[in-house]
Amino acid sequence: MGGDLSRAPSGKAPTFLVGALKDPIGANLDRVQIVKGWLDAKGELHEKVYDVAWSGARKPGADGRLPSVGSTVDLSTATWTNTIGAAELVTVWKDPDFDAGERAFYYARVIEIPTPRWTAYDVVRLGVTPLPGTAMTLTERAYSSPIWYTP
Amino acid sequence: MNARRLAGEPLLHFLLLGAALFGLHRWVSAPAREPASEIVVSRGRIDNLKQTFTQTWQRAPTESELEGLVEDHIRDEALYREAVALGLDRDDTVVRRRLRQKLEFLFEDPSLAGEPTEPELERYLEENAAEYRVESRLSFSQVFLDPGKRGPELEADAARLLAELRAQPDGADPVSGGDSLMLSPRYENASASELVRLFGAEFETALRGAPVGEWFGPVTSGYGAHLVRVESREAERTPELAEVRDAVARDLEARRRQEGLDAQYQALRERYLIRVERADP
Repeated sequence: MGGDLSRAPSGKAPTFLVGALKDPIGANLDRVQIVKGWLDAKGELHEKVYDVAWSGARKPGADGRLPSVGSTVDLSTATWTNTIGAAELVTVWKDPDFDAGERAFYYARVIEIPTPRWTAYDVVRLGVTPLPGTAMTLTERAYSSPIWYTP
Repeated sequence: MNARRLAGEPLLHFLLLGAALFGLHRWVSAPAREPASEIVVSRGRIDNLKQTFTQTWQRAPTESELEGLVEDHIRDEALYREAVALGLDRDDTVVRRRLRQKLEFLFEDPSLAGEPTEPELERYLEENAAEYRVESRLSFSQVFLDPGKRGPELEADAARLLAELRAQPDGADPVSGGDSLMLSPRYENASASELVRLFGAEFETALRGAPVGEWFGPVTSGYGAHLVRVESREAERTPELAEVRDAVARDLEARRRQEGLDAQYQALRERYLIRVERADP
């Protein structure tokens, strides 16, 4: 997995095909993101996260951020349902901010819909009261190996 | 000079006291003991050291390397003897485990290592059939319907598509009409555990009752709904001995070895009077 790109032809940007299939016994998928990091001329590292594929008919807001997928987690029983999200997300994405002179890396990140965290299971099974501020849900995620662009 | 005067002479006192002290010092600081025992590095041992070195480095040791090996061996031997003399080998888990292992290795009766006979293998397979079960295998085609895309129409779409698929001639492309999924539209000889891993347990269970050679469904998986045509099914079965001969022979031999060890241990144990001092309840 992963890979290397170099010497981009002028005026062209790298294009990525990304596909993710959920775990058949796991939660549905919320979105696929591509994380890009690049070194600018001053040697400073930047990172940007692009939402590239998502479930349902959501549209990014004015600030470019994709609305949340929502949550089906029921904390009273520590369960969730696969009624939101998608079983599979596939797309082709082209880097809109590509600079052929800058070193960069890209990797994909796939995010599940929210599911109960272990703390939520503990509350239901053991009847304990969590400490204030305890996170009760989480979004499981998977990462790909990076693809490196070296001019 | 008479004896009286001599007895009062301080120089004499000094010499006598000095001699006494010197004698005491000699007696106290004399070497505690002679070398306790000999360490003999025999020619056979040296050959053995050479051989071990050659095996590791793929060449014979040089003169100085050999000297080092012998020196190291002597050091080893001396420290070993001292350690045993101090009783450091007692109550040491690692040493005990190693000794137990060595003795058990000696236990293994070579006569048991003989090849098991055919009837013995047959009987072992029969008695332990569950361990050698061959999983059921399924070849099938599937068309996926995505609940995220179809929403409430899913059931109606499934029924319509099922009718279309049933009406179409054999060999037609079944994928058209379904939704995309990264799984294959056709699986050949997929085992039950493979199905569970790919589609989820619910799907595998539902397909057990599916008819052969006919479109069937919708079947629910971890992804959504599927229409499925089972092309062939191989039921779960106990294999013939010929198929699993090596595994059966290996397991039977392992069992015999264990039984041999147990029997020899039991015989050994009977030579001891064992008393366990349990805490009072």
